[in-house]
Amino acid sequence: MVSLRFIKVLAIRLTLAILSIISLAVILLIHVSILVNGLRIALLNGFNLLTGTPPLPTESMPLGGVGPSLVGSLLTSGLAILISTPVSIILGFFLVEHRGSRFVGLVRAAFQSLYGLPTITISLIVYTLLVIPMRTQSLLAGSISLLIVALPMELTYFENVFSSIPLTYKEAGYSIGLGRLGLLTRVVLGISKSGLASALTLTLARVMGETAPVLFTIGNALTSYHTSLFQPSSTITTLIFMLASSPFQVQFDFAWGAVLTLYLVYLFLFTASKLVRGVEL
Amino acid sequence: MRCHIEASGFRLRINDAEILKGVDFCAPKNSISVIVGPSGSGKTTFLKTINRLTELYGKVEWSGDLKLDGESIFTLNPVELRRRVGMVFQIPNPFPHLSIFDNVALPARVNGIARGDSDVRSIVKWALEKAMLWDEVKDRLDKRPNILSGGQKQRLCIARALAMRPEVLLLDEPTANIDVVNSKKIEEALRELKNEVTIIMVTHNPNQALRIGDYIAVMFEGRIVEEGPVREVALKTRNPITQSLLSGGW
Amino acid sequence: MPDLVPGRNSSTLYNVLVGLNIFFVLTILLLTLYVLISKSSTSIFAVNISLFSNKWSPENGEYGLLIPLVGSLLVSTLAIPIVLIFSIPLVIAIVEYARGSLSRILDVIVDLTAGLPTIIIAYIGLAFLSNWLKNWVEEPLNRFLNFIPLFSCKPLAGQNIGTAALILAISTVPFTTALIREAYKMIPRSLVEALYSIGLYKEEVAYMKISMIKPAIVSAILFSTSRVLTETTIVSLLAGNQFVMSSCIFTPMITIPSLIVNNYGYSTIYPLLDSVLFTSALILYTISLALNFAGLYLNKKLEVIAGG
Repeated sequence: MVSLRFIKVLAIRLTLAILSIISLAVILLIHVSILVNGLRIALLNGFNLLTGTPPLPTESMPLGGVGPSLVGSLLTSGLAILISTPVSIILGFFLVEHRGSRFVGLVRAAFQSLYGLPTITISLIVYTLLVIPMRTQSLLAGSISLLIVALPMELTYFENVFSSIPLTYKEAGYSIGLGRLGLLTRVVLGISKSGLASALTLTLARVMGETAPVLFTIGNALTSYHTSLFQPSSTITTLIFMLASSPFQVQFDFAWGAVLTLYLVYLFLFTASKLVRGVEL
Repeated sequence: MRCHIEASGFRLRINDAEILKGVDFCAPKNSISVIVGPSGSGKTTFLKTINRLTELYGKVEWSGDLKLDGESIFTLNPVELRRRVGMVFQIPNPFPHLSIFDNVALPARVNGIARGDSDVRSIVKWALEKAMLWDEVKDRLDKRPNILSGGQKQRLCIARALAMRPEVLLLDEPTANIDVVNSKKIEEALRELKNEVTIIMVTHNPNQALRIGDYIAVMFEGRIVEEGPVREVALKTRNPITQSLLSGGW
Repeated sequence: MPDLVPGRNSSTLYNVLVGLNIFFVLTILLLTLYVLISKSSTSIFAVNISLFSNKWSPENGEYGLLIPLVGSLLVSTLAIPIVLIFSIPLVIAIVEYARGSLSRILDVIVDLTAGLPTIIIAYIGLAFLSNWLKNWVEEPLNRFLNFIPLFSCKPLAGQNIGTAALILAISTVPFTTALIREAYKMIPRSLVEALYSIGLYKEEVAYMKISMIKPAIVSAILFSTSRVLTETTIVSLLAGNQFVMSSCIFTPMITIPSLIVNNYGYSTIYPLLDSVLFTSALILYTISLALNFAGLYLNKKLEVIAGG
């Protein structure tokens, strides 16, 4: 005689199994379809995928590359992280060292509100502040948008890294006559090297995948390599967005190549961030 | 008898809780003063206040006097104070990201004690010799401290504190987590060091207090209840707290 | 008792550096807030337009934000329950049923997918999911269940609010799973052992554990809703962008992010359009800020319970 309780337990187990298998299958499907379709386009184009320019609507085959957009992505994200990292180090340290203070609580609340800013709003704001006065979209505007995205993210990560340093090392550092700045540069940074590197890489990965902040600010230069800060460019994300909205099948199809490129860059950075954490730098 | 570290009626409140309730204490120059007392009596707090570590992580209020060589420690620059007063912690904490050499060299470099590389090298050698660790690490100075045993790590920490050429050395139960052999080595090192440095040590081990202490102070519930030369206190005390602490351990 | 003067632990250089950086970040924050508020105030205080009408026609000076707002709320309300239905079982499956290394691998896959750029998922959605969904899910639902108002219209294209909600859900499940998993794993071992020791099955223990972390789940819902509301690429490409309001989920509808994307180019042509777009962005920011702070507040309370 099978009890009601046993039936209930079995039902739960079945539901859990079905739902989680569906979730995992969908997740797997996403990765597989990126790889399969992207590989198709990649094999068609070879190395030119990374250096060429996207196909024109009139082409018959999805032949081309993502070169200029890739460069744009790397430059804007790189610049954003370049500025965000030192700021996050100092402020992350500050927030942890002076934790109890009221002032610090207020400062942290202010940073949290920056975190909640929708990325599409950032785009609009930078558009108004920079693009309109400069009369052009630009790499600079794109970088600033990504900086606004990166700052609260990296600050939170770094604050976590710093708070996991055992208090005893900090006390030892103070006890040998280091001031706060000395403690940061000579003890804290040294101890948390790998944690910081991992957080930095992760932030870079997420910033490179952003579309909305750069959508209005970086421009639409998909076919030429602009490396001047004050000229428009594009990112892989805006490229994919453009191709996806294109009515021309050959361009829409080509987007798989751009998707694969972005995916591989993201995968590389994500893996690097995990590996770096375990390594003694 | 000149007190190198002197406290009179010293009270301390941390985050609105009164930990020290009127401490009278004197550590004479070039001697080993031992502080004993039950857990929670405020020994570690007192020690960490002498080099002003307590104020770094909490709201601290004080009254009374706490002096280094006649000067109130609260009128001194805290960073400068911590150069003159070294500390060794209960659980050995050498910096894991620096080599053995750099662990000892850092205080010397940071405080301007050493000018130039050869100066640094001689101070590191001196400090490690005084901590009775030189022979064991002289071939491995570039390695990280994680290869050392607990006892060796603690001696490294002693060397690190000595590298600043401090006037006073504070030790918070330095051998509590160390094996017997290393403990003996550390006690030997301290006995020799007292000629150059005034030593204040917190200990849980009554035998250790009797072995190496010159003066003893008994702390109970935030106050010093008895103080004096070790032999005198041990033999003639009538204080029940002191008697129970010294006879059985706590 | 007189206070200590702790300031001299920090050198002047340190104070200057910290001060400069705080100033830098605060300036960015204040500047963005200033632009946001000042630009939207023009349309908020403009007399002859109604921001909450359902008519959108810039050439006639009509800027009703009601439909985009409803669109945004609707797509979130549809997506979040789907997210919950799939992420909670996934958490349980990974933590309770997967063995050692499989569990770790799955954790990594979930984390990897959680950070995957949403534009990629939007594109995949557009490339085949939306058509597949239209043919195999939405049309049958319409044919067989069209007495339910939700399914009462025939999906003309794969791009409608229902599809967008589903693909948003797919994109958010890994994120929410990661959030809930953190709280789930933090339940003290002794509590779990106590549960098993009274003779409960694994499924019953899992059920009890989930009820224990209810505040964490609510907080995860809040963060995920905030994320779904402000997501741009999936809704722009998949929600349909039409100014219709209907109770049927197969209608294409516009959302605030897609409104902004589609119209920012015209913002110099129509006089108040610029300001109206900012107002819509302000509305979105306010809602997402409220959700984020609510989530943080809940997390704070959780910390007290767990740590205390």
